[in-house]
Amino acid sequence: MVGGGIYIALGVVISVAAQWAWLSFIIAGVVAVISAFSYARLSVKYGKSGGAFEFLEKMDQDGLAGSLSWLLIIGYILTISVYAYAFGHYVAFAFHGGGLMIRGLALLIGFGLVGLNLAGLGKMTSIEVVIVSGNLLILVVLAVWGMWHWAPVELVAGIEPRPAWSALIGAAAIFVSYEGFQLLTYEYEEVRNAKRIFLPVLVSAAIFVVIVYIAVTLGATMLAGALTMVEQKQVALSVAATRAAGFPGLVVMTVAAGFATAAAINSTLFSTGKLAARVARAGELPQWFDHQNRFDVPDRPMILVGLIATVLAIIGSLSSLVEAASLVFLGTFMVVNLICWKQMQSVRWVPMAGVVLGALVGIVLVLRLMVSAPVPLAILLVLALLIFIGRPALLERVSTEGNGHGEST
Amino acid sequence: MNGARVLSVLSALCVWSLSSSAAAAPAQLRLINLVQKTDAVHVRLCREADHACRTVDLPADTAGDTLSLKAGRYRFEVRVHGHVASHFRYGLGDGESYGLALYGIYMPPMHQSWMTRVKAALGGIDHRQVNGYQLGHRMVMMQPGPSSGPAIVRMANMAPGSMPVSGHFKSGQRSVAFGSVPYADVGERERIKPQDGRLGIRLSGSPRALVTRPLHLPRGSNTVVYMVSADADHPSIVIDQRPPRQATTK
Repeated sequence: MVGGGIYIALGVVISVAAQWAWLSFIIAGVVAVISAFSYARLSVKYGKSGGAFEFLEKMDQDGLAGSLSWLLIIGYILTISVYAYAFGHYVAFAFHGGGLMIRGLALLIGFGLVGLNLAGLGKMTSIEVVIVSGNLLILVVLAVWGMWHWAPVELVAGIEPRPAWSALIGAAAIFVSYEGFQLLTYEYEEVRNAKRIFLPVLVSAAIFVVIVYIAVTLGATMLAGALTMVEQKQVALSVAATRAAGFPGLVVMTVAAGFATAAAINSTLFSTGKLAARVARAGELPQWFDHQNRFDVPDRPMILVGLIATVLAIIGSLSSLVEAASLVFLGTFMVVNLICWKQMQSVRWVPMAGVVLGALVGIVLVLRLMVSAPVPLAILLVLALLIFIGRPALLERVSTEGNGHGEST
Repeated sequence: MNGARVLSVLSALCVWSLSSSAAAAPAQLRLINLVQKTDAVHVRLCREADHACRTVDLPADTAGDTLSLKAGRYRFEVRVHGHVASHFRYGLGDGESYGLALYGIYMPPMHQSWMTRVKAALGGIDHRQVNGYQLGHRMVMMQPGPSSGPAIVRMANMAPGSMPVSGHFKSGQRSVAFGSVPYADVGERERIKPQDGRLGIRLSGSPRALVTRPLHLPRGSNTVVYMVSADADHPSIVIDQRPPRQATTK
């Protein structure tokens, strides 16, 4: 799913970077575009679906591949929970619903899409194309509408202007909004003529999303004013659309947000299920995960991931979920950029630039989480430690199959 | 060539971000003095674009008159007993309505530790409790709705040293609850249709109301109830209420 991230990130980034929110999207976007380049080059080199896990397996780094895939699955769970949270808020906002309706909707979309996937209806490419196209069209119209009434003062309306360097903190906070493109690497083998088109398609898609996000940030903020976007960050785009076009604007944006976030949940759930089953087949997850139902769907990982993500969506807060997920993807993208730098012979400075910029953004994010969300950060770090240290021991105790790499680190 | 184009677009964006626009409709700003340990504060606000300044004197625990101001960036200077207690900047948007609450305890000398500055920088404007109970400021959106719509009510906890507070609005058999609000925060918007009722505020978890008072909520109005002191002997609140939107405002 491309273009869903703006629904969860806009209010968060304005609260951090104020009038420099658009610059935050550029900084995070540069890391994302470089990472798209690295993902694409490595996918073409190895000719396999599977993303970071597959790249590390090909380099005989089975233990690291296993640990990273566990972390990635946590990242995907957080991502799904963020989108379920956003779905609940956007739809409930249109019906003036309170906390109960928001939680009910998050529960409904989480379990509903798990059910849809279990029935073998998770991957409906033509429907996703329609949703993505419609969503992008609505976002672009909103962006153009807002920028047509050019009013830069609205970028700081009701808030304190922030220094330009706060854009770096903003970039760190919302990095997860750029994670969508790498799901395409799980479908590499399904793409026709992938060797020729995968790199330009992936990189240009990432660049296009960066441009859309910048335009929407400027346009929507000029329509609604910065303070409104911060106070109602969970439904920032609906508020902007209502300001632009009243009730019809609210209806259109609610439909767009509902479908965009649902499609993002669906594609992430589908890819996570496939990844978990693939990792289990390689012996890096307990064998229990490698189970398919009669529709050839990896049912167990899908149910587990959907369940945990839905619970998180119900109990979590937007900023902490977004930022914890951002940290996981920053780490993963840095690893992929590092692999690309080691494996490639030409333009190695590009992935190295991704590593350096990603590290800078990652350090800023850790510092920010230490201040603003120490508990989620501590939980994430403990989980990472358990994964890297405790995973081999755990795999030795439970049943695994495949290559039997459970003992490696 | 491409690099030059990208740079020129970025430069244009920078200029746009830094510039201010001429105001079409004035912003409506009300200053609210909730600062403890002082009788009055004096606020001087200057528009950065043309250095047009105004000074407002605010007695303790009061919401001042609504100021009509040109949109733009403003520099605020808060003085207590002639000394500058705080200074900061805010942008004010075209035709928007705001409430700027000054809260906390005035206890000179005012000081911000290095760690406080780091926390404020990393936390963003959402991260409120970085400076203990020292004098702070909080802008709240006060845009009213149409006169046919429900009233919007929020509760704000600006009582230094208090536990989180919660409340309810009772009108006949109907009751609307306000969720728990920690210090320096503003709670969720509640949409309320009945126009007359009784407001009750208590410390979260406590069955006993600290404050109860009748409250009239005209349709479409926007109201923030500020808890100023949660002291059981002398609890106090300040209410900022804006009338429903007129046809000419945004």
